[in-house]
Amino acid sequence: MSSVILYMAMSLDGFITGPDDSKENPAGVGGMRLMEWLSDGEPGGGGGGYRPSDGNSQIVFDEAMATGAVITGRRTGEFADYWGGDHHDGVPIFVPTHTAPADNRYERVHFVTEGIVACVEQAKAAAGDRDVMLHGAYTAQECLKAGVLDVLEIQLMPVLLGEGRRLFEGLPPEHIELDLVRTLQAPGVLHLRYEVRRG
Amino acid sequence: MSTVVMHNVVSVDGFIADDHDDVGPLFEWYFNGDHALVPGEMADPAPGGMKISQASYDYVRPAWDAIGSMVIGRHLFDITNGWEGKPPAGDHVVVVSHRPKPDGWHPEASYHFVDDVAQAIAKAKELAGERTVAVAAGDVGGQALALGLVDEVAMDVAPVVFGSGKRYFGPVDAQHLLEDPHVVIQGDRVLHLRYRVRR
Repeated sequence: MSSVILYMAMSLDGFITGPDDSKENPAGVGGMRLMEWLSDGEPGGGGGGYRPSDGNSQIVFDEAMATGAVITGRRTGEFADYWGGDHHDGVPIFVPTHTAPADNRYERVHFVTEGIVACVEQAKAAAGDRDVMLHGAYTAQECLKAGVLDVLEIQLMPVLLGEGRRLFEGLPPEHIELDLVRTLQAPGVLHLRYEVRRG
Repeated sequence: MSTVVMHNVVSVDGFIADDHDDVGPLFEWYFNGDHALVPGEMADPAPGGMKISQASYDYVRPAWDAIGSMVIGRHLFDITNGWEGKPPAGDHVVVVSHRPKPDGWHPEASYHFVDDVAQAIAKAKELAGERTVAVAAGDVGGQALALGLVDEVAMDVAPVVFGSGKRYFGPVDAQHLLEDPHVVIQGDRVLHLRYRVRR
């Protein structure tokens, strides 16, 4: 059974970007600090990504690169130009959105207008036995609210950003219980894997 | 010189309580183990007393024993009535408040009311001697961190997403670098993390 897994690097105070993120500076001011867990690695790997040099970080990176479909928020996707149409290994990319853009340059990028649950269903069907990678804070919140997010894989970075875009906001007051199922320590990052409890 | 440690139990998304000061499942780990946290209660645990897992006990008990004084905000003082003059750790409490100690309140207890965060930390250090100063996270802890007065950040991370509430880092609104965590200990329904603030 495939799982929907959120992959996000987050500061200890809960931010996934610095302030003033934009198309020109997608990570916001100072936000590239959160990507440093990747930058020790050599260029290469699937999709021209950067594989970290630490063994524990490689476990997480390799799992992410083994996913069979990607769901990304429209904002994240547009900032990254949909990774040139190929996030890794040519797996399909699904984008939940209210209105699909008039032109879509990438055959593997699919805009889904029927809601977040339908988007997840399509991504899971495309991924087959493999897991689905989820990226983007707003989309993660929508998935949590709809009860279709299975796992949070957080790269917890030892920095306080103080300002920026938060991973968890705009959620209803009901608590969402998790189970910590794996902790991997690496230089400059702590990998935390949480499963979302149901009901 | 005493070490100033900012501390609280915290949700994965950085909240120390919800909007109504309810800690929800954050404190579950204080009551789900078989080691009485309070010395002398092992053979005869108090009804509703704190009982934690072996892994948590081995970290928490020495950490609490090392505490000489605590710095808390007026809000925490008011909602706990100052723990009726018996601090959960250490011998002295400094309360950051513009209002004085309530008339006649536990005259025997070493509680000191100071209206400025920096002066409160200085007073707590004086009272602690060589021992640790524990600063409650939230408004007061966040102000102390922003002023550069915090040496370590200690978080007991409970596996729950709150979505809204009172934030661990309070008013911190600028970037602060931390070292990699020197404590990463998994208990039952809690992950103990401790970071040194990079100078």
